[in-house]
Amino acid sequence: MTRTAWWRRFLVRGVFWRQFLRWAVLNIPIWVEPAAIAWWSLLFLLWGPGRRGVMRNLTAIKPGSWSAVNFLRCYRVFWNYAWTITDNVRFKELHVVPDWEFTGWRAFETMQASGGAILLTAHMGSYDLGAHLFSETSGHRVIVVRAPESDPQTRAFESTHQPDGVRVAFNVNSTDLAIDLLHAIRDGEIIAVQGDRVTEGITALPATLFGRPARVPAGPFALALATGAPIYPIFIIRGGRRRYRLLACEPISVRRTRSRDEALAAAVAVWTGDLEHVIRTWWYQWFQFEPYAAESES
Amino acid sequence: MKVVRDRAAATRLPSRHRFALARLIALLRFRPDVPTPAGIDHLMLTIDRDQSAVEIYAVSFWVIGTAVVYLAAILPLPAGWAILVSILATGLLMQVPVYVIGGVLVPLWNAVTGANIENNQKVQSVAFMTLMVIASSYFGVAPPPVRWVAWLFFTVLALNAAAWVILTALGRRVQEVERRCGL
Repeated sequence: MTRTAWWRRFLVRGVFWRQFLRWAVLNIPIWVEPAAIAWWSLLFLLWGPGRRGVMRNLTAIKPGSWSAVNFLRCYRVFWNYAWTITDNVRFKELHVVPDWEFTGWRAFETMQASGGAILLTAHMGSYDLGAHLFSETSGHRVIVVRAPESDPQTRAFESTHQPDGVRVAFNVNSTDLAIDLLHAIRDGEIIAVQGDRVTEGITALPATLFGRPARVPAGPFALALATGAPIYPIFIIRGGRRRYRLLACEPISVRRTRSRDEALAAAVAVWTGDLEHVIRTWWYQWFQFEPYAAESES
Repeated sequence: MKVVRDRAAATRLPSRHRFALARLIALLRFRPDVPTPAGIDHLMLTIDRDQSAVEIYAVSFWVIGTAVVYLAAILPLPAGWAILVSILATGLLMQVPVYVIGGVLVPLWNAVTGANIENNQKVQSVAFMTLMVIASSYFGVAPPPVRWVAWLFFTVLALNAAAWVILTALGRRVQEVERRCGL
């Protein structure tokens, strides 16, 4: 192993922090945990790019807000994120599930009853816990689509620590994945996609979020158009220690019209409306550590 | 893991608390007719000893607060500065025993005995409380107000022991409230 590779373990997205979190979950007494999380959240405020990303997003979510106040808000985001990833690891390692509250049950039930659906969510709460909940309460198989970890060691670590009952599909090859997902929806499975961030190489659609130009992944909307399956905006929100809320919004139908672009734009506008409402209410749960709008655009 | 659905009263079940004192308080506060919070369609409550946020935050605050006072007492600084430094340092110092036990002692034990212990929550909790008892015994004879903090620590431990005895005697009532929540 080269010297560079050795140091890469300790970068923010390096494998060390995943291993350390797992170790901490298995070692830190449960009643010391709040203090440990408070301390580590404070330390991670030194992570400049992440802190600046959150603070930039906060200026859009809360126009006119002061930097000093947003710095404190940023701590709250880091604190919530730390709890969320801890709960996630605890679930994977010790099978401890949190309390769940359901809001918008009718939409959630409709999704469960439908044959094949697209679940659109955001970087909020715990994605894995939510996926596990779906697989427990639904007869459908859930396929979670996500970007692979950029660090190879972290990627290997994550692949050996996947939760049971959930299939993860990495969006590395858009064409192959699209065909797989198309078949999966037609076979009655649920595809879960995070629709608030576009990673490199992913086809995107233009959108407006908090009055700023943004981009959302085109995949879920194109899939909905191709299959006729509705899109269900569902958010996992951390309500407190080991307590999460599943918030299901009304389904979005991508209707076939003469103009494909218009149909997609209409669906994207509904999605960003739901997203804005949820983020505005639970801004401290939006784990978006990069500015969602490019510097020049904002 | 047991789960109770759509019974908000289950949030106050003694079995969702770790320490005897918290379990007894939960039992005394139990009401079978707690309504589901507004805006919530359904509830799914996990039955786990560490599920109570109020209990865990309270114990954490108490233990860390006690440690802050102890550390401030030995720092050669004016009281205000000592407390400030202690608040910042305790968060890190409290983790030192965890790293020593989980990072050195348990792996050594595993190497010597051939065991493969990974989940050290129990041993860490016992070791941590033992360290706090040793520290409280030391500061129990220190000048006030540090002495009062140490005495408070032992008072809480004594109350917890008493609560355990009462809970053991009230075993049937605990079963009754759990039955009401469908357990």
